[in-house]
Amino acid sequence: MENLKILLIGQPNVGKSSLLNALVGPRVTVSNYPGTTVEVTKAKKKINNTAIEFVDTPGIYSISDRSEEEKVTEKALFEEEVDGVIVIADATSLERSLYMMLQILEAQIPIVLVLNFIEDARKRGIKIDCEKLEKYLNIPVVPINPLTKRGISKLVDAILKIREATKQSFKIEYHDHIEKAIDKISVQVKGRLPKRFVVLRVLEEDEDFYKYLENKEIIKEAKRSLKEHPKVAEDVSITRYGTALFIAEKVTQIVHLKKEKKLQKGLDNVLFHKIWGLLSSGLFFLAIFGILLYLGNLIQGILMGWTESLLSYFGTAEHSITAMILVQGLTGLAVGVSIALPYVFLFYLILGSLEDIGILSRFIINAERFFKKLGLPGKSFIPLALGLGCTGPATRATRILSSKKEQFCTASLFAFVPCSSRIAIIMGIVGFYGGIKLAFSVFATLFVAGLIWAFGIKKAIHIKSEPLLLELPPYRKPLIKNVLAKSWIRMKDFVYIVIPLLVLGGIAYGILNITGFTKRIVEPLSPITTWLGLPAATIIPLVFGFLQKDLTGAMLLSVLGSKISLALTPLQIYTFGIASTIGIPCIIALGMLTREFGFKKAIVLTGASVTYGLLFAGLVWRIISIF
Amino acid sequence: MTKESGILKIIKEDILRIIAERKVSSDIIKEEINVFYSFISEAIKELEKEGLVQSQQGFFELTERGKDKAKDISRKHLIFENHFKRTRTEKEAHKIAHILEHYVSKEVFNNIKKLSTFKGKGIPLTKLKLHKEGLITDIMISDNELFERIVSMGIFLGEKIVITNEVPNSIIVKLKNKKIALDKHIAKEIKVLEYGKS
Repeated sequence: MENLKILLIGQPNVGKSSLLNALVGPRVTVSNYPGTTVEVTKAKKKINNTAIEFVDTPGIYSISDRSEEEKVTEKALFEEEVDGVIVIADATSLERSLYMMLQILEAQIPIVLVLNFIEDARKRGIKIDCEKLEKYLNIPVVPINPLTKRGISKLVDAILKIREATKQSFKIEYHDHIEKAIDKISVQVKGRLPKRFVVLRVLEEDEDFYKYLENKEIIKEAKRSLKEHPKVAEDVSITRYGTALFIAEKVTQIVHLKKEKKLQKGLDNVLFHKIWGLLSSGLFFLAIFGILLYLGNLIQGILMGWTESLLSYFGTAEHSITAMILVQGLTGLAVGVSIALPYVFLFYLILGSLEDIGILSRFIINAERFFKKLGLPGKSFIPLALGLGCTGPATRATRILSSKKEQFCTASLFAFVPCSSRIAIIMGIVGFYGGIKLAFSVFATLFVAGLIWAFGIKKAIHIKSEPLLLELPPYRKPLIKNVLAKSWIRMKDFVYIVIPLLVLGGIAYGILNITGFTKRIVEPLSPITTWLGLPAATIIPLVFGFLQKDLTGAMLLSVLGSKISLALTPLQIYTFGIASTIGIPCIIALGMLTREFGFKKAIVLTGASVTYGLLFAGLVWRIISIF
Repeated sequence: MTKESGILKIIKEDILRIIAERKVSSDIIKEEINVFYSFISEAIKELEKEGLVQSQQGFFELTERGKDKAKDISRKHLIFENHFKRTRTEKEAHKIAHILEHYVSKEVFNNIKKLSTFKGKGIPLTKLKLHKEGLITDIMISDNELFERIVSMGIFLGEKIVITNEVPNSIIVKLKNKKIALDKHIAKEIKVLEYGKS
């Protein structure tokens, strides 16, 4: 059997993931805002005795800018043994897609060019002659529509034949001095990458590319040549884009250009209005939050009923040690399924819809106004919003930010963005026993504490923030199938990583409880509870909450009894709410932080944020009790 | 030789453009193109060798093949060069003209042609009035990466651009049916000329 590895490359929002769905079935993320995929998604399919592995890459505009998305794509392109590339072009702006395609042509990787949004283009009065384009570039060109599956079988045929593709003959001629430099330096290029391509990348001073060089001498050589003609990168970009325009023009016929739809324009005018913009985005977000809390609560109630009856069935055998551990493990599972699941899944469902509608990128623009004051880019909005679901997957989403510093600073704010488990504490404990007003004051306190933290961080870590440069996709009707598929992908992290850890956390707690460890921590840690003005026993839910956040509520009940409103004053409930929710929430989040930033940074951030939370809670309590 | 031949090519094309207008002596060429004489004589030598130019008693004229070539070059080059001379140094204008005449599309070319009849210099994109159409005349970003990013997003010389919305730190522009949010720090480095109706 033959094996093929095919890379999918295209601009953000060009329909890469939808195409992958059409090729192998619905199991990948599809989205309508730039920068959802920062990792590659792989999917396999067997066609006619050939096993094809498709690798979906993050959306990029060129293969030589140094964004995180580009790095991931470049890595896939040069480090995996790729047989060919499907370049997905947007028929409504062909030249932009051709720009990147020309770069890949220079790398002499076999290409199938796929044209998406052909119908859109036709509606806008743009007609593209695919046959002419095919002849001109000497590569297969397939118009597709992933939704109606048009062109998919033709594309599959082209992929199966990709190895037979002839070496590309189309070549951009650059400036004379660039061509001379290429001729001169390429003699020294070693390795399997095409010489011309390698020299160009070096002349463009693409430092990230240096690692692919087998003969580093050519860097010096290029530097020498650059002394004479410094602006090679700029010239190359201009020439390449000019070529793309030139080709696009040859094959495109513009009948008439249609204006933007009124509704689209109107919506943007509201969203980007001086006053209405922020207000509508803010209200919109609050509404989403409200819906989430309401529906989450509703579903949680139903699921809780089921799991509780299940637990009480096991609970009758509580006297044996193994049974006790088992019950705790099951509690973890129940907590994951009944508390976190509805919130997390619902949240991803809503977020996914917003993405596909195209409204999320507008939020980023408005968020930029707010986040800029915190020294963070507007894009931070995405991981932080995801943080309302579960901190774990949200930590991974910080990768859409361009620098490690930005990523870390944004991740530090997860200490103040309540994830579904923390929302459950605030609503389920503070709200239930102290009233809804108290619950909302906890939310407000988190917000204020977060602001103070963010300003502090801004002072401490100076971030040179990247200027905003973001494409706004057109508003589109979301496809339920895509939204569901995407939510499931995001849920996977939660189901396969978070829930097992919740179970393990439960079991660990069960064991610690039996060994009597639980009671032993109360005494030495009493200064903390004294500072917080809380009964000494409340340290147990606070500490074990870190093992598994959802243990907090259950354990508070078990140490204080079910009549919490009698055991604690409203102020104490409020203080407990703050102390248990500020900070990197749990061991799972710590693990994810370690994966992204290394153990040292993760532990420092976790320690600092938890300490800050405890200090803040104690301070607020003291200030309030003065009045 | 690398450096010279780049200039030489431009000079050769300039000479073709000049001779296309009238019979001239090498002195007149020297007057028109302000470079070392040795460059000019070398360029003419090469042009003669290529069979594009022939000399008659110290004056130069184009051969039939030369005329064909000159027609193309002079039309494009002149427009581009005159246009870019306004925002760049002469040498840079030459350079851009040289690149663009080979590759730029008809639409962009026509836009620049239209522009060259306009008086006045480019203004920063941030100063363009809301909903007014502007033509991009220059992208003055020195960071290679950002430059490429911007170009690859379709923000290119000679393209039409409209500001559709303005938010405190950025502007939303429309460019060939695509909407892009641009930081004002970037936008002010993009030069445009206001043109057309709103």
